[in-house]
Amino acid sequence: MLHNASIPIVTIVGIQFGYLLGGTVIIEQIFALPGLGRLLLTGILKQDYAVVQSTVMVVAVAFVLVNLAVDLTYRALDPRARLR
Amino acid sequence: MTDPTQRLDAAPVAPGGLRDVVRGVWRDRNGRVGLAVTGVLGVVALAAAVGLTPYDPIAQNPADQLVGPSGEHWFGTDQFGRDVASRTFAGIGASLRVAVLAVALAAVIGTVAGVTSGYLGGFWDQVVGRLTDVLFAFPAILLALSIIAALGRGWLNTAIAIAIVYVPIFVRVARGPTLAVRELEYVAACRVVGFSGRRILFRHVLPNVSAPIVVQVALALSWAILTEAGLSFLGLGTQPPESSLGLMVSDARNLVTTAWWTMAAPALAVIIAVIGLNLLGDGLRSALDPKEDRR
Repeated sequence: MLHNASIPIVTIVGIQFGYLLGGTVIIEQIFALPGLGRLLLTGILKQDYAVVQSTVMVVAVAFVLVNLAVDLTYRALDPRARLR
Repeated sequence: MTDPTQRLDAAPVAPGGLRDVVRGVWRDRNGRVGLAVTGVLGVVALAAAVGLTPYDPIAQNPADQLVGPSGEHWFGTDQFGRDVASRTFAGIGASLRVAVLAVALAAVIGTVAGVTSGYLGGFWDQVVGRLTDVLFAFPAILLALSIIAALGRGWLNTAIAIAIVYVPIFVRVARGPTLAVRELEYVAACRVVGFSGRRILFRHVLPNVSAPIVVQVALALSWAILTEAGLSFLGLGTQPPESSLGLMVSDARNLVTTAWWTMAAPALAVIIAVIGLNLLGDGLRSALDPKEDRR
């Protein structure tokens, strides 16, 4: 039961992860946390494009990797998903 | 003799006119609330746009700093003595301006790209598909942030950034049903009669895939308002002294313990707008898609 029920949960985890990665920019600004989001924001405000490019790159790669992990988890959970 | 092509044009089941849609939404309980909230917000935004606010939203008044809510100032005043209610109304106007412009751009570009790529297939479908994949690789807010980093700050660039983030979603929403509709008999009939590709696309395919797109427009509006508030909060969207909901929340951050009303009014406005538009989206869904009516 849990096995089959966990498929939509994995989907949501993937979506939420992307949402949270974007949300870090705002959260870190609110609570003055020195993190990746704040680095990106200071980069934008000071027009330091090298910092913006690299931060966006890192976050986008993380996002793609999480989506890959989600897809692989599907495959493990539901062997029928192999057909594609 | 009647022209046989005319009867064919009338054949597909197009969704009813605007009046039918509004009536359908009104019949749904969520839809009714959503329609009412959205209507009120629209009126407030239009009134603020033509300058109909209780006070001038950017006029400072040092004598009335941080006054609490009263009959004179409904939501009190901020640290510069500006009327918070007026600034909230103007902020709703600014947020809706960005959201409507962004969603209109995204819906038009995304729908045209999605319907054509679904209908034509082949190379064009590959190009559109890869481009949407690239855009989907970035978390939404991050993509908007980086576009603003490239274009510069300001409300117009914010609208463009939000539009670009939403284009791939409209492409997906338009492309899927188009693949199904393309195979139906009436489209084949149109092709046999010799209609031009453009006529088939816009008069026969588009009306029959429009329902999910209309629902998506309402949901996209609510997301666009949230994102505009977020970007303005970070200082990248609407620029001061113009008021915007996100900007007001950002200004009120340090005041929230001493003057809660400066935070409450814009925050409530964002919450009400997002809930209203989501309910409107629910109502549109049950009005346009009778199959999903029962839950």
